[in-house]
Amino acid sequence: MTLKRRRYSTSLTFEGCCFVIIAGFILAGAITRQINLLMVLFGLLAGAFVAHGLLVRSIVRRIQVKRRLPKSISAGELLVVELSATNQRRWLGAWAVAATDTLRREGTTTGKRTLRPRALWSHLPPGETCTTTYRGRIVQRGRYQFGPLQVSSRFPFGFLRSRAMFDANDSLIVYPRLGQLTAAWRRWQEGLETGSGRNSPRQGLLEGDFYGLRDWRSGDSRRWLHWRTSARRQTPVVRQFEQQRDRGLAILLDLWQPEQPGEDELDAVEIATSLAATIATELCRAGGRRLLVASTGRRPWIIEGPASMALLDEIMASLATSEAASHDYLSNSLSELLDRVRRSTQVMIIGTRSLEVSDHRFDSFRNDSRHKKWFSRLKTVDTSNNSYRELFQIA
Amino acid sequence: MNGHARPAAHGRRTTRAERLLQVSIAALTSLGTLLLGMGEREVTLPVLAVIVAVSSVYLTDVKGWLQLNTFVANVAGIIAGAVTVRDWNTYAAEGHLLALANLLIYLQFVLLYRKKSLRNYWLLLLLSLLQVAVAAALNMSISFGILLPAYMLVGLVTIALFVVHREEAEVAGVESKRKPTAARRRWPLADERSVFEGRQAAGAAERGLGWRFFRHIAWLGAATMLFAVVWFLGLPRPGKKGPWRPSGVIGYTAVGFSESVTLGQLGEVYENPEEVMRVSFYDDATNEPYRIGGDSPLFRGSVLYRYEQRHWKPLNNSLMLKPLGNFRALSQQSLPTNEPFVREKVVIRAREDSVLFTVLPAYDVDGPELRYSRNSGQLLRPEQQSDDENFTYSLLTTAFRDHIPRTAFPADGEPPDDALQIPKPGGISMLPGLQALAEDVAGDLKALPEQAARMLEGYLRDTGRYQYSLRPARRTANLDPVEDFVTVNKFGHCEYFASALTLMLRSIGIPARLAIGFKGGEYSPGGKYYQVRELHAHAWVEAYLRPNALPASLATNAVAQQKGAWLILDPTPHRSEDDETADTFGIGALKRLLDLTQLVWTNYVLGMDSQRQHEAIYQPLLERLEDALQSLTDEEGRQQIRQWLVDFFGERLGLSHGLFSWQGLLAVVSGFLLLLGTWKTIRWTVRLVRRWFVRRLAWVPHTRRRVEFYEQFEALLGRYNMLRTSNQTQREFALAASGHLAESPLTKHVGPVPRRIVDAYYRVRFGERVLAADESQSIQASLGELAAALAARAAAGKVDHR
Repeated sequence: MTLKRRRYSTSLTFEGCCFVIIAGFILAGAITRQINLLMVLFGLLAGAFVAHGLLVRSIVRRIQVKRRLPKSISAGELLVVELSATNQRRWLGAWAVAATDTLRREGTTTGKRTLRPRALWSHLPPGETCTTTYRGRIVQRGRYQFGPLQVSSRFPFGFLRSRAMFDANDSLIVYPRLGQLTAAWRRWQEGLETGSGRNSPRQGLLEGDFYGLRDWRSGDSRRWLHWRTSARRQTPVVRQFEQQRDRGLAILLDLWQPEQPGEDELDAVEIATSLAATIATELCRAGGRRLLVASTGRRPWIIEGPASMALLDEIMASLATSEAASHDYLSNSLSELLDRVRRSTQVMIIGTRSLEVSDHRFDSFRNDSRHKKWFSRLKTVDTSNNSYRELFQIA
Repeated sequence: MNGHARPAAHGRRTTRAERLLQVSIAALTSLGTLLLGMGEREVTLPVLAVIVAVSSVYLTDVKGWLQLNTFVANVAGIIAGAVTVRDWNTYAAEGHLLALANLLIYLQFVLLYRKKSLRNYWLLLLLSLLQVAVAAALNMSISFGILLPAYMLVGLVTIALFVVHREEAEVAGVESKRKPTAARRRWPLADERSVFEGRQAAGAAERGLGWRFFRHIAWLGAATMLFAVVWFLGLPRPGKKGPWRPSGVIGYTAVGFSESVTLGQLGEVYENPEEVMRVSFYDDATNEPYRIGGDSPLFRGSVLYRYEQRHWKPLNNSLMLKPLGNFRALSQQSLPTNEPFVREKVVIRAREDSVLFTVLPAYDVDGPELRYSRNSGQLLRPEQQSDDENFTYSLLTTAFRDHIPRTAFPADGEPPDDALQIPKPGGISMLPGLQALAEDVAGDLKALPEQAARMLEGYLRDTGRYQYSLRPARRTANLDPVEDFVTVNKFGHCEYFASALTLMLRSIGIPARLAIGFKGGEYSPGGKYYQVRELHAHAWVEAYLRPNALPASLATNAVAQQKGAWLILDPTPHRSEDDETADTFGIGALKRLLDLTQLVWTNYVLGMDSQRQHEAIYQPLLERLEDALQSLTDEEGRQQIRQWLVDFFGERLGLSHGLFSWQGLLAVVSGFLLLLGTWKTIRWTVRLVRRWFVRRLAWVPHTRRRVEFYEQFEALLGRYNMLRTSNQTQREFALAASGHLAESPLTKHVGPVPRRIVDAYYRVRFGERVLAADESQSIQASLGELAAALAARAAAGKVDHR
């Protein structure tokens, strides 16, 4: 977007201070010792200073800046932000124009958590638009605000720095870092599917609601082919159905941490979030299932729907901003989750603390006739130790 | 988590900016040390500086073979400090300054051989500047003045490259600061910091440092020079301690006409090429140009009689020009009747004095009446004629016979007693050697004054014993300069030769006087005139011959027979053959240019003080300003302007030839183009000013307040991803937004709101109307309604989505 210009300022740099002091000494020497050559030298220094002052102010006043950035990235991924500047002067070129962006994570107020990436245009010819980038990695998930953007120049002589501040309201969501699900995860998935298949005989070959179309994959029945679309696209396309036999997955992310968390507790929260994000990504990319993701923590939330990229965006945005809390919301959240899930849905609890099905926290569910049926397929993952690595690897 | 880190220059590929910076730093430091070395009159250090600078670029910067580590550099710095302390204790006063200056050079050498960081580059720049500051206090030669602009230009390029390199390094150097941590946590990103680095498209940095960059710096250099000149000339010189020049600088002496002569001054004498006058000769009978052959004509300005304590002064020991007579009346009394006349036409430039110059004898018969001072022999401008403008006068002369200048002219009366004056303070002659020599050379010819005078003239000019020189001469301290010239240091310029001959003639009883003016000039075959410059100033001798000792050429002249004659004697030797050759090949012109440069340097740079500033800058500026103001308010002035315009258009532009001549057409076309250019410039300026005003008005707060509701409107739509693009007008944006709102039943009812708001905006912003209170309220209500509808639609969308 085009950034609206806000204000200008000019300040003396360290080099400028040194220069002024030396020039002052030269002038003092010229006057007290009455030496004309020192006066000539001072004239040259003052001339350079004045010329610099006039030029450096005019350089930044006629520059228009635009910023382009992606809507979202994952933590630790390469972020490339493109800045393009237009020198609106007709004759005067600009050199060494620096842009300093401000990047702050929402929800943090301390100044030291502000990032200030810099980019440079070595040369901006008059009337032309040039592009530069800054790139880097953001390691912490969350929502980030960009701006204000400062354009500054010390060219040509570096005695003064002139700045123009531009307002900007861009934002970027940094999703949790994604890892790799292991073969054990896949085995667990397949085992559950096999088991549920026995108990839920199909109602027909194409039972269920029509959900959408997708490319043909190995193993798909020829009956599912959507002939008209396949003919139009010149590639086999099959119909997808929302199975009445609910093969969905419900994930409860239990973001708990003590009041004063140590490094391990903090790491556990991030790993748990990352695992939930990785599972959601995998399922949404594959499609064809219902997904429900709930989170405890400071602001509990629940999102559910057919696995799709749109759902994934929503889940990832929520995961990006989820924060752990020291209160125990597990029971409430689990209760709400179990009320929502359909039959045959697999339930997984990803926790940042030790979670056993035999735990007394689950007594109420175990004794509840509505809920106890889920316990046979309940899967818990504890990220406070390294047991999660059976299912999930992260680099 | 801080993405802004100060980079180090280590471990990265050398950019084009850095390589150029290394080269220019080497050039700058060499030049700085050269300037300082010239001030110290030291050759070793500047030569060493060049070697160190060049070798450091290759060995340290390019190859990296020789890079002093911190320890070695510190040891070298301590040694340099110790040497400085020793020098400080050894020498006194100025030696202290030299010791500190040398320390700067030693430190520079050490830094040049270190791996260059941003700090090292900056230190080298500062050290070089400090060296030049010291050099400015020590160095007084013109070579400093020639090298200083070069240094400044290299300095500006260097510092600009430093700025570019610094910015590039700061933007690109974050990665080098990242340190791997020893212990890794379970969460792999826990040990990481969010970092960013700037990166430009490949080759973008290199493309920026082309000829445009250097042209840009050259312009800045020119502006800097201009500022420095204005600053230097315009800043009042405070202080009454003494002259504004370093001790040891001697005031400049230039060849040129002055109304008195002072001998024995120290300092080099330079040839000043400023034009004084243009003289053309015409045969009075035929009005044809009259070319002079033989010796160059002598244009006399004044005569000096009294010689006391190295000074030649006009008659009666006074510079007073009075009593002044009417030269035309005098001319009519002595006008010869039986000799052919040559008409001398002189255009003399504006001068500080009123003195006019002419060959002799000269007669004023027409044109403006000139004044004449018998005491100084000076012809002067008419009383009403200002000295500040060119003046043209015309005289008749009989100074030539058959195109050859005569060597004598009739006197206008007996010479005064001072024509025989010899300085004798306390009755003791100051010139015993001179008198003895004159007696030796021409004592036997006292009865034949013309021959005696010729003998003495030839002795000084032709025997080779005396050399012509403009170089500075250190005369014997307790001797009169003329005595010293004749007996000890036998070289000098024309004033020495003429003074010596005058005093020698007087010592053998021949009345004589020193004549000063100009000799010859550069003849312009095209313009048929002699261009006389200050460097043609000359001094010669006029010896009085009584009526009974007249030369043959004046034997029949009635005036001479009655009043005697003045014999013109020029004892100054001709210039050497080398000088003539030099002039032939244009080296003379170059020398004159150098002399002029030296004149400006010594008098207007080194010696610029409050008095000179007043005379050379403030006074002329004030006078010009006064004249300009007067000419606007004064009828006479206005008339002068009209006359100038008539002259300009009539003579210069050729309109006097009529519009249908080629000059007229050229003038009309040029005038038309000029008018067109002026008109375009005015339009462009007006447009620029208007645009500036519009921009200024856009900043006025009340204008912003009046369209605040529109800004709210755009911000509201922006929150729901409806953004106005840069090529969309507000109305187009409103139409697009209305269409978008109409798509949903939840926002359909607010579809007309954008149009209503934009209409109000147009009325306020461009119609400069103020909204009525109820209208403002209505708009605010509409905005609220729109916000509510959009919120509802967004909420519904979210639910649908799930």
